[in-house]
Amino acid sequence: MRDRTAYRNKPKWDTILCPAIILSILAFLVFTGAAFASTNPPKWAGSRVSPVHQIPLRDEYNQLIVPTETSPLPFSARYSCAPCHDYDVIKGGWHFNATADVPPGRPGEPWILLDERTGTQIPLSYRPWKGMWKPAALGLSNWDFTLLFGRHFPGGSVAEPADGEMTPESRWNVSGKIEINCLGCHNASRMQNPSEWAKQVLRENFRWAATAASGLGEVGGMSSRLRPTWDLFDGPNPDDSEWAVAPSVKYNRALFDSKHRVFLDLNYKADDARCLACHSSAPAGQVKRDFDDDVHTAAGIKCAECHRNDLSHAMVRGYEGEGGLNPAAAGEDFTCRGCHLGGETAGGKFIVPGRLGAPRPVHKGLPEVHFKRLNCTVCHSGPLPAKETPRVRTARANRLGIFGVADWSTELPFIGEPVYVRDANKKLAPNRVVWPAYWAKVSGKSLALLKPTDVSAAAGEILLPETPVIKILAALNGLNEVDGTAGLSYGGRLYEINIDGGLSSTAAAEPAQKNTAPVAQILVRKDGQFTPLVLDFDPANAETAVEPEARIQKILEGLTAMDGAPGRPVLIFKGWQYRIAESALDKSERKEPPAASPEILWIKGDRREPLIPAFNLRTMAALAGSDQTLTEEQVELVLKALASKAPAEYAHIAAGRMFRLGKKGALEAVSHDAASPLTWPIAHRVRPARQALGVNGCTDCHSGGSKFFFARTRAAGPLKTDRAVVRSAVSFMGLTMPFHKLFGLSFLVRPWFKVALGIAAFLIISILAVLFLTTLGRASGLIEKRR
Amino acid sequence: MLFTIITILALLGVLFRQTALRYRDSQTPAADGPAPKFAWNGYGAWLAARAKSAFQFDTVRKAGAEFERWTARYYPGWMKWLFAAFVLCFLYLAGSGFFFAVFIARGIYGLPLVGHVVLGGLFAVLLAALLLWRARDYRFDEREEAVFERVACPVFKNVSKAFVRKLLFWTFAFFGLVLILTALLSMLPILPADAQPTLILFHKYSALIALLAAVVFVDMTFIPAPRP
Repeated sequence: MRDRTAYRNKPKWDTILCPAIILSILAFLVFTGAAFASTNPPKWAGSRVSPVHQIPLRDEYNQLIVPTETSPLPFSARYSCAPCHDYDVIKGGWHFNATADVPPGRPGEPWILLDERTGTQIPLSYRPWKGMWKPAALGLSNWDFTLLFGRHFPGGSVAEPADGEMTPESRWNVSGKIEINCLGCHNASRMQNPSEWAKQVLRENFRWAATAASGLGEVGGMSSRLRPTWDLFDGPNPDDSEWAVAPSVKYNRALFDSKHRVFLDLNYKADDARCLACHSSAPAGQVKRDFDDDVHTAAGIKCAECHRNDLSHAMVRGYEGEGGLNPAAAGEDFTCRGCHLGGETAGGKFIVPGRLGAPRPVHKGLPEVHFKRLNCTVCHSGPLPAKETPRVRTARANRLGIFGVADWSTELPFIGEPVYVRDANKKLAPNRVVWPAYWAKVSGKSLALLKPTDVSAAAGEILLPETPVIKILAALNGLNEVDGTAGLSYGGRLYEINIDGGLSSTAAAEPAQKNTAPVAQILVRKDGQFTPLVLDFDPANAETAVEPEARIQKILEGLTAMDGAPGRPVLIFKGWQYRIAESALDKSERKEPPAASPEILWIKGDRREPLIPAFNLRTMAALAGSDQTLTEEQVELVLKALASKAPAEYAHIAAGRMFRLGKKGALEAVSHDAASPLTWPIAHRVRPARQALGVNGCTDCHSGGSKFFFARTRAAGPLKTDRAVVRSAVSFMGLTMPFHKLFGLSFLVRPWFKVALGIAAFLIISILAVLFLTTLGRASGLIEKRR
Repeated sequence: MLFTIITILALLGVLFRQTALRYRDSQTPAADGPAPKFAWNGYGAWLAARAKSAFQFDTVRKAGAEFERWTARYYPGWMKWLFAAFVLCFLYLAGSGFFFAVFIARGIYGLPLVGHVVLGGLFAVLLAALLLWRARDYRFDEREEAVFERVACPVFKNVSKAFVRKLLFWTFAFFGLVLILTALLSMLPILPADAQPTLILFHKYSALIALLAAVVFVDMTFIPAPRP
């Protein structure tokens, strides 16, 4: 029998446990529900219409923006879009997760750190792609990186660091962070201006950039000129309305309604122009008129039709094998193969071809091995292979798409395409190639990269060959007596100071004569006419020499007062020497042979030195008219300068080689793995089928002189050298040249081979037919009957 | 994979059948008793002895002499060299083709492929030439056609060796033609790329059948019967 007393005395677990369990379950549901809601985008209800975005704008403090208020703040995408779109979910998207621990997938275009002065071009990426440097390896903080590359950033990521990621020398408190710029991609308004974005970023107006670029408001002022302690709430500086002007927004009030709501013309699928602001590329030197768009664009397909994403912004990149890494890739639906061929993916999913009306290619007579060994893009994308791998300029590397009076684009870094390289699937794919160029400290076989700033500091004037010329020309241009613009004529080129204070050179009307040593001469340009700085006169004639000597006095005074003058200037002409002594022109007879034309020299102690050192003239002449910025002589001098400052072995990696000082102190170029090129695959520009490689037959690729197999890629970069590595296309493919030469040559006889096979087949068919018919005739008795 | 399995099984099967038949023929039956039973031990020892003798220098000399004798009769004069070239072509094509098809996942590539293509062309021309020269000798005659009429299970029970040789000859010729056509069609811009795997499949199986036919033909024609 049950002991009722004992029962009553037992603690009532059920009364305690039940509420606890229910509460636990509820808590679990709440937390998991919240987590689910934050990682899963809201379900699409089914309407194919995008909502009209007539919304109030909010600033970074989540306060409503009233455009009529004084000093309104710039709008914040984080808070303006947040009521409907989860900013934290978007932050995980491909464009914003470079620093996150996500699978890197197929290599993409690196950011290329370019320092023309030191001849540095280093491919960088936060993603762990092979051959690319981490920005931290160069000591680049989030701030540095944003300043360097923010011009083509979509915002977020390193441009929006957490408070703990800010370095002391950064100025985030002044500039603000660059939030994800939703309008940068989704704004359908033609007011969206990537150039304005770049301008604001370079002014360090980070938090204002999106507002200015979208055209919602006009932004003035420059954060870069403000003191480092300036804060957003400090507002404008009433004492300075010219230089250190604090950024401010003047909203376009016509865009707002009475409820302070603004109409944003947004595209769910970004317009191509938005993508191309950062992702456009074009062959170097091509005329815009001659450029054809990608065949998909020509067919009316937008970038975002294939490069899809949901709220997570996990973009479909569209390469084979992506499906395993990116769930948003939907099992490789949007590869070339997915749309055009269909079939079963590695994941076992069957893809129905023909999506977006993709035609099915026939590829008549194309051996199967091509599909096993080549990506579709080999034959269909990028420029056709040429004898020398052509150069391409990309928006991010060459600063394209930033328009203004000044030309923002750069020729460097040199990027070549196409070279064909095997991908992770062992298939060839067209790639872009860049040859790294940097300075390094050598320790055995390993190299420690040197920062460009450290190299510049050690190199001093070696890397600034034009500086003396600029100073001299600037000094002369400041003189009233020089009625025109002073320029330096040397080696068939004329050097003049440009609008940026740098030196530009143009080919002289009369080219330099060969077999004669070039002579440096200062000329004055006025109304398109060039005259010598000092006109011909007779110093011995006291009457006619008055005016020229007054001019000489002013010139010498100007040069004496020149910043960083290396000595005292003197002018020699015929048998006379002019110098400034006690603020007056001192004229004396010379003992040396008379000078045929006026010549200015520097006197340093007892020595006389030319107005412009020979090294500077030589270097300028070597680099003039080319896109390169460094000579071998400079490399040798810089290596010596580095070694003298901190004794060690140094090297310059460039043009596919390692340049170092040999045992006798001369520059030598050797092979080194660190000088190997970096490649990354491309998918566009897709050409029409009739422009595909192979459309003319096998010999498009398989011939003795095939550009596909034997195109030469010259290692190019900032260094001007004749010792650059030249690689053949087969070496990038991992193939052997003799075999492909032989194989290509075999195609010379391929037509005759086919004819021979055809004749042989015809004869055999005839014989077999005779046998068959005679046997049939005998078996049926027809032949006997005939007999 | 299927082709690899079929190839290995078919080759082993044919080799076993041919050697087993020869082993059986080498056994001396009792005068009034039944035919001796197939003994695996004895077969193994016999096979080892035959293999050993095949690798003796004398075998090469004998093969050379047999080749001379045979070609002197059927391929006199310069035709002998055509026949030799044909045999060498076929040996290379079969060796390179089956080695890569069976053992190399990627299939044939590189220089072996170039050799395969070049010698394939030569093989086609020589096959046509040899057929023109020898087709008449391999015509089916009246008696054999009578055998045709009596085709019934087991099919080859009453078939003479001469008839089997002719059958093998034409089998080889027919599948040689398929080999040529599949190679030719794969090079011409006539069929879509989707047809290429099918053409290669036909090429491979035709090659297997031609090889098996050649093996049996050579065994029946050139290798002397064992002494009991």
